[in-house]
Amino acid sequence: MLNQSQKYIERYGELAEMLAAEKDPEKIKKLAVETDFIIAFIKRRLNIIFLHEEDENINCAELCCCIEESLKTLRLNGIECSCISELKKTMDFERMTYLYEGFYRFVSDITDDISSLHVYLRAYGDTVCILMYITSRSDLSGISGIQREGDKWVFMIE
Amino acid sequence: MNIFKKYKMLVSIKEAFDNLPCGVAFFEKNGTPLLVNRKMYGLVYDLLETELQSLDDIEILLKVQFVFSSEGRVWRFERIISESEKDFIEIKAADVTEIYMYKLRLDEAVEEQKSIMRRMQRITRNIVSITRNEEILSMKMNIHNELGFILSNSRQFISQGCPENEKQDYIDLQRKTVKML
Repeated sequence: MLNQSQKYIERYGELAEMLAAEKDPEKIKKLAVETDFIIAFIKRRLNIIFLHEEDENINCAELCCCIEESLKTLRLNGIECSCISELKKTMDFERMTYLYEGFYRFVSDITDDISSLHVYLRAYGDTVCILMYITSRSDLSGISGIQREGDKWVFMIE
Repeated sequence: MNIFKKYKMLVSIKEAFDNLPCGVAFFEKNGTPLLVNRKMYGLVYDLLETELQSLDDIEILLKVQFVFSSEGRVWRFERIISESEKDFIEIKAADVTEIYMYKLRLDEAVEEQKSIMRRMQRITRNIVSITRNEEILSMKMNIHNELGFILSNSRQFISQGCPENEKQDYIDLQRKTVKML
């Protein structure tokens, strides 16, 4: 069960040690936010695993709760966030973990640069995708798949 | 003893032999019948629908544990091993109906015992499975609660501006959680 989350737990351990060694208050805050972000991810990912043990398909609302838990961390860092889903459907475990891991990896790479993040869960064929609208102080055009729409960056995990 | 008396005695012996409740037969070593009582003749005819001509005729009856006659009785045929085996072969057919009935009841009782044992084993397995599931559930709840606690603690630490004097406690808690996971 925990093996599936092993790489994230290892990263969590690394962050704890980096925090222990750090003296600069700014860097400590940055590391603490990153640590909080990964704890929220591990907690919610385990929740999905536990739910999967009960049922093959999981309600989309659970993915919204997972993302919302992660967004709470970003709000602590002064980032304006929201997660909106009007989907009343279910998705399988693999799809849900794929989307949540994709969200985690993408957001953890840009946390320092963004000022707002609005997440939408949209129907995508028979399944669901994550659409994100981002306001950033930095140029994110180097990220593969990201697009510019007015003053926002748009990224989709499909 | 005169011949008449001797004949009369032999007839009496034969009569008594014929009236035995069990079947008895003596054969030569080559299988030729020497002396066969009425019951044995009747049984062989009833069971095999043939006259008893030689030992070979009833070999098949010696190979099974029980045979069932048309009158609803159960018989067991056996070869009697004795000193006289050197000279002739003795076959006995005994009415074992009551023994057979006891055996049936015993078989039923044994089967019932086995069924109870299987049920007990199933219950034991279920108890083990329920205990294991309860332990897993308890572990899951423990992990969930622990992560919820650490998350709340972590957010408090960040919202307070990561105070230096709380940093060590915060790190100790993180290390403890990593170890738990």
